Parts: sequence; C-alpha cells; structure tokens
Amino acid sequence: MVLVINQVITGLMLGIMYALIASGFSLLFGVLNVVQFAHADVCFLGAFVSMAVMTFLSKIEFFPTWLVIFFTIIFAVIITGIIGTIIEKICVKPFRKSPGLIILLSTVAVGFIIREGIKIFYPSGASPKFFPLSFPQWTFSMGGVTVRFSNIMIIIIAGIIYFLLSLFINKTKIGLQIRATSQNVEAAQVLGIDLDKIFMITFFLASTIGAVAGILNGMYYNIVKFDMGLMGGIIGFSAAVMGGLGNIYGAIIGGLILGIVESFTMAFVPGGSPYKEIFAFIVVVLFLLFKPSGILGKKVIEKV
Amino acid sequence: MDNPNTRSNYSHRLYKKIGYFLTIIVTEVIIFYMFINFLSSEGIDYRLFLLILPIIAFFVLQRYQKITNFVKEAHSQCNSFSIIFMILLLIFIPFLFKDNSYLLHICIMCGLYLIMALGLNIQLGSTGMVNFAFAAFFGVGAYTSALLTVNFHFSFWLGILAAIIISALFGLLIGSLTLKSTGFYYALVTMAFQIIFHLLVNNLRFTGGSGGISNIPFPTIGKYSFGSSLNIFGINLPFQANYYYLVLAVVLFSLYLAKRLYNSRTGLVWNAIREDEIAAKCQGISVNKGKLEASAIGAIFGGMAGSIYAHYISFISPESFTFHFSVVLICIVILGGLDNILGVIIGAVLLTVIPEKIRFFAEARMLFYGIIIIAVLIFKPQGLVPERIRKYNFLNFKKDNI
Amino acid sequence: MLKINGITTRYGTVEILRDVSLNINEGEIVALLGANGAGKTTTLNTVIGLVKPIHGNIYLEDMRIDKMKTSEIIKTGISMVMENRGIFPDLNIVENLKIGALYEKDEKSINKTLKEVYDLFPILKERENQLAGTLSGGEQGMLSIGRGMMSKPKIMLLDEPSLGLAPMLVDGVFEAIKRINNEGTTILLVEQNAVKALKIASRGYVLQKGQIIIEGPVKELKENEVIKKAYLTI
Repeated sequence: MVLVINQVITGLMLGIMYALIASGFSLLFGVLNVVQFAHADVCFLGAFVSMAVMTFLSKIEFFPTWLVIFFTIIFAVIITGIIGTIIEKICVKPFRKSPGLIILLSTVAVGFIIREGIKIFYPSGASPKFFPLSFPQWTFSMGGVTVRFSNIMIIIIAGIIYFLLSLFINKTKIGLQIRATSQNVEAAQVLGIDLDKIFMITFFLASTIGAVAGILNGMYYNIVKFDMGLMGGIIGFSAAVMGGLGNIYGAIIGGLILGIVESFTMAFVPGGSPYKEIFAFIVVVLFLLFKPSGILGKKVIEKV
Repeated sequence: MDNPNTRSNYSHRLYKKIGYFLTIIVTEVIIFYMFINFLSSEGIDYRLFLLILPIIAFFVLQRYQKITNFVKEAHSQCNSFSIIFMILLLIFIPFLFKDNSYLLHICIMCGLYLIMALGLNIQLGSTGMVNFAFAAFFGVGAYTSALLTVNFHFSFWLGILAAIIISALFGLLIGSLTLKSTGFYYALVTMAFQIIFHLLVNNLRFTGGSGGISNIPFPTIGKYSFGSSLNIFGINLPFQANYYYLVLAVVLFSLYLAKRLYNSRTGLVWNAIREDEIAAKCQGISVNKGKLEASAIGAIFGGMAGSIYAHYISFISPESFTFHFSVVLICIVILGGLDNILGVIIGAVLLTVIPEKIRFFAEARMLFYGIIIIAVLIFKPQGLVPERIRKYNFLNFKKDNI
Repeated sequence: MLKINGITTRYGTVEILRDVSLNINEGEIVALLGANGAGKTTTLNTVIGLVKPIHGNIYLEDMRIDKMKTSEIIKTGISMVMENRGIFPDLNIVENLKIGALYEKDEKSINKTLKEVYDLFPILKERENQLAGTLSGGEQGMLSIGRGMMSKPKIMLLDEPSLGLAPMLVDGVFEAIKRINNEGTTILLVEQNAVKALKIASRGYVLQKGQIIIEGPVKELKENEVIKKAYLTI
C-alpha cells in the first residue's frame, strides 16, 4: 500500500510535467486551431536556455546566487517566449489559411531543427546534461510514505501557473480577445481583433508556460537531454488529445493519467519499463475509442 | 492523287518526330551524364559546382519557355521511347561503376528510397493521410522477410511475398484505427505505431533485440546466388549489380503500379478524399474503402523495399526503422511534389545522393531535412515538380494551397 | 461619405466582384440587394477589410481605407454586423457587447453606449449575464446589432440581419435599424428580403453576379420591372 502511494506521488509528478506540456498544446489548439508539434521541444529548449543564461550570469562577479537564479528564470522564460513567437512567424503564420496538417508538418520539422540545433550548437549537446538548479532536498516521511519538498513545490508552482493563466484569460481585455478568437475567429476579425497580435501573444504565453515546465523538469529530475522533447511532445500531444484537444482542464487530466500510467508500469509491470510508453498509448487509444472527442472535449460538428 | 499538302505535311511530321527523338536522347543523356559525374566526382568544390550548375540552368531555361515547352512536348508525345531509352541508360550503370561498388550501393539505396517514397506518396500525396509510420512498414517488411528466411529457411522470394502480405495487413490495421477520426488523430496514431514498433523490435528477443538479425541469406535463383559477382558478356560486375538489377526491376514495377493507380478510378477517389472527405461521401464514394486501400497499398511498397533491404545488407537492426527515417521519407515526398510521380523520383534522387556525396551534412542531417521541409512548404508548397492537373477537359478544380 | 469605386475582387481565379461602385451619403440608409451568391457579403467584407480588392479603391470621407487592416478600419468609424450574427457563444452578453467597443478607451463612454443598446433592446439587459450561445435566434440578432453599435460607428454595415428570423422578429429588427439611423448612424444594408429593406431605405443598389445592374432612389426601384419581377413578388 505504501509502495502504491509513493508510486502515485511519482506518477503525479510526471503527470504534472505532462499536464503542463499538454496544456500548451491545448491552449494553442483551442485558441488558434494550431497543432504546435514542437511545443515540448520549446519546453526543453527553455531548460537549455536557462542553463546558458545561468552560466552567463554566474560570470558576473557581484551577483549573489539567489539573484542569479532569479534573473535566470525570468530571462529564460522571456527568451523562450520570444522564440515561440519566432516559430509562429515562420512556421505558422504563412499557413494560416492552409489545412491544419501543413502546420503539423512544419512544426514537426521545426522540432527537429530545435533538437538538432541544441545537439550541434550547445557545447557537448549530444550528451545528457546535469541541470544546475534544483530544489532543497528536504523530505518528510510518515509511515513509509515519502513526501519531498520538491513534490509540494511543484504542485504549488503548477497551481500558481494555472491560476495566473486563468486570471489572464478570464479577467483581462486581451484574455477576452483570446477567448473571442477561440470561439469565432471570423467574427473576431470583423470586430477589429488583430489576429497577428493574438497569435503572437498566445504563442508567447504557451511558450513561457512551457519554459517553466522545462525548468521544473530539470530541477526535479536534475537531468536534461536534447531529445527529451520528442517523446515528451508525442506523449504531451496524446495527453492533450485524450483530454479533449482545446480544453486545458482536459489536458491536465490527460497528463496526470498518463503520468500515473507510466509510473505504475515502470514500478509494477515486470520488465515493463522499456514499454511504458506503449501502455500510455494503449490508454490513449482506449479513451479515444470510447470518447473520440476526448474526456472533456466538445463535440465538433462539421459544417457541410 | 498525290496531294502536295499531305506530302509536305507528312515530312513535316516526320521531321518533328525525329526532332522529338533527338531531344529526348540529348536531354536524357545530359541528365544521366551529370548524375554519373556527380556520383563519381571527388572533391567538394567540383561536387558543389555540379550541384549549382543545374540550378543556374533551371533559371536560365525559365526564360526560354519555348525550349522547355518543346522538351516537355517531346517527352510526353514519345512517352514510351523516352522511358525505354532511360531504362537502357540505367541498365548501363553497373558497367560504369564496376570498379566502384560503393557508388552502385548508393544507386541501390536510392532505388529503395524511391520505392518507399512512392508508397508514402500514395498515402500522403494522393490521399492526404499524414503517415509518420512509414519506417515501420519498411521495418515490418524487413523483419518479416529476415525472420522467415533465417529461422524457417524460406527462400527470399517467399520472404518478399510474405513481407508484402504482412505489411499490407499492418497497413489495414493502421488505416482501420483512424477511419472515424480527423487527420490529426491519424497522424498521432501513426506516430504512436512507429514508436511502438521501434520499441517492440528493440526489446523483444525474437526480433533480436537491439542487436537485430544478422546473416540474412542472399537471394538465389536456382544455383545462382546474389552474393556472387555477376558476369555479363565476359565483364565481371560486383555482386551489388545483382541487387541493382533486382531493385531496378522492382522500381519499374512500382512506377508502373503507381502510375496505373493514379490514372485509375482508385487514384481519383484518393484525390477526392484528400480534397474534401465530406463532399466525397456525398458523391457516394466509399471513403473508408479508399482510405484502407491507400493504407494497405502504400504499405506494400514499404514492405517490398524492406525485404530487399534486409537481403541486401544481410543485417537489420532497429536503428534503421525510426521515427526520424519516417520524417526523411516525408521530406522526400514533400520536396519532390505531392502526388506527382516524377517529383517523387527527383526528390528521392536528390535526398539520397546529395547527403552521400556532401558529407559534412552528416551530423546535421535531420537539421537540414527539417529546414528543407519548412522551406519547401513556405516557398514552393507544391514541391519541385508541381502536381499536374489531371488530363481531362475539366476546369481546374485544384485549390491554390495544398 | 462612403465611396466604393470600381472594386474588383478575386477568389483564386474566379472574379467575385467586378467593377462595383457604391456611394453612401451621410445619414442615409442604402440597401444592397441581390440573390444568393451575387457578391453582397463580399462587398461588405471588402469594406471592412477582410478581403482586399485587386482593382479599385474605397474612401471613407477623404480617407482611403481599402489598404488598411481591419483593426484600423474599425477605428475610422465603420462597424459590421455579420451574416448569421457572428456572436461568441461562450461569452455572455456583456462580454460580447464589450468586444464591440474594443478601441474605446473611456470606461464611462462604453457604459453610456451600453445603456443606449439596452434602451433599444431591453431584453439584452435582462439576460445580461447569460451565455450568448443560449440565446434565441432573435436575441442573438439583437445582440449582434447592439454589438455593432458599441463602437459608435459613423456607418454601420449590416449583412442580412433578418436571415433566419421569424417574420414577427424581422419587423423588430428593421424598426431597430431605423431608430439607429435616426440617432445619426449611416446604414449600408445588405438584404435578400427586398420588400422590408426598401421600406426603410432611401436608395438602393442591385448586385447580380458580381456587378451592379440597377441603382437609384427607392421610389424608382419599386417601379422597376426587373426588380418587381425578381424580388418583389411575394
């Protein structure tokens, strides 16, 4: 029993990572009808950017450590957000009027560019890198169940992120425009909503959240590798699809479920570790078979 | 009775016909010569020069529309001659490379990639199904053939037959999982399948795990084994020549099959599905049947290539059947031109031959493939050779975008 | 006030509008009639900036607007009420209306206009916090028009506001349009329902297959044989 609870915690952590990534997918699809396949790569790029920024900032003699960390996170998040908008300009904007699968292809391609770019241009990028930031190692045990400080921090940080996101979308003027665009893009245009701006802002938003996800991932697992975005992207995308593409709550649920499925497979299925993704996929396929629009997804009625 | 009009008319046509033949011979020999030259050249500068030359020629020719039109006319009017002559030229290749078997190897790989690209083109180009699992179809064919021949002592010929059947079945399986879903879900399922395939093949004992399967036997015809060098008219060709001619035959067969399908009602149905599924359904077209057909038939191309590959290299491992390779194939089809057989040929040749000869790409291969995909989509979304409008007396019903 | 000069637009290789010219004077209600597919919606879409013409130009007073972005055009004082309402189903009425006033900075001004809209359509005030998707067709129509008022436009474009509405509601809609016009807003009204449109308009144009075939004051139009046969036979 204790074992199960510990595994649930492990699964939840993995699940929150997937949820954060999946939320980015859902945000971009829900608002802009765009499948940004390289989103997970952007998330992990955020982790690499933060490492680079940190190395740079550490060289500044008079900055105390906490200040370095503070600025690292802020700069990394902003830079990654900007990279997200650049991706939008190159891989999404030219294809706004084309079928969505084109954007899927172009973002798959840009994912390769990001991953290979890191591999080639980051110093010894091909090997796994130790992530310099991490949580204090405080733990708390009760009856065999181990809860770490990092576990709680991740839950809190994720909660804060979703809270801020919700505030932004629901209470600000730009958020109103974003919601309007997601519901009726033509009407939004007719009313003067600047689609270019909305695309840019949504991509920035999704990418900054993604950067935080990437950094959290690095802080928790202490290791990043250039190709984590590939599997992370496929699983994250699957989680978003399972939860209902376009629905952020669904993405959260989807991510959590897949995280727990993978952890349980690793822990309880003998020899199952290399196949954990297969189990995750099976779960996704099963959900889709019974509810093709996803767990919380809205039914899409095709206008003939 | 001897009407002067018909007489001059006849000789006019005769001269034109001769003109066509000469044009075909000249253009094909030039292309052939450049291809051979590029393959056998040493030195980066020369190769880059050979690459830039056609690009310049391309732009120059754009201005001389009359010449290009005449060339195109020649090739389409005397289609059979054009094809036969090209085949004759291709038959010579092993003779030209008899002392450099590596170059022959490149040609063989090029042929295999072409076969696969034709299969993917059926799914992606004609039917609009974005399939990320083609490397898995390739792998299914390779492993089926390898396992049957190594473990059960089947002959290669039965092996390739089995590969075709099993990959068709897998094609049906993948296709059937997505009949009710939109394009995104199909893409996702193919990605999942590709990864699952790679995971399974990498970890299961009976597929040899990460070590793969080795000592795959050479194909044999009677007593003659493909592993021995080929002797024609007293000239000794390296053993690759056997495979070269096998691949050439299969390539020609695949091209013939692809062309027939394109021109048939099936091909038209596929295009209809790609353009507007709902409209197609309203026309009474069985969209499900069309998708399953595209999935299965496309898979067969992959299976054939896989089987030949296994028996050529004599060794297969999971590394050759990855998601990355699927993306490479997608890149070939997009670069060449969706739903255009000539375009696919050009795409396959370019993306097989150039990376081989320009080696500094090696580390950054996937980076370049990614850049190529995006560049093509932005600047020339129809690929290098845009899709031909079907030859009916219909109005142009293609949309401007893909 | 609004001058549309010789507009030609294309979709792919097909010409939708060919050399279309309209003139709308300040304070008028001008009707643009025509059958389905004639290009009426495209005309409005071109004015509001969704479609860019290949030839011709459009002037609002002395400002050339055909090359501007939609957001800019809105700022010059044009608003459009879309065909099929174009409401945001998961936003409530207030939010829908507020989007109409996107470029108005002054809160007080927005609230004042809001009040005006509620005066015209009291039922919108009643259902203020309801999601727009739950409203009936008629209510959505009112919401759409109210939203068009929110930017205090000089000229309002309406695309078939009576479409799909029960006859009783149609009268209400045209009543509202007349009232809006009385308050000083110029109206360009696209309609298939020629009878109702010509009742409140002062001038009209008829569009057929992308070209203006008839134009003139309403009185003349009502006498015109072609129009009588095509559009006024009930």
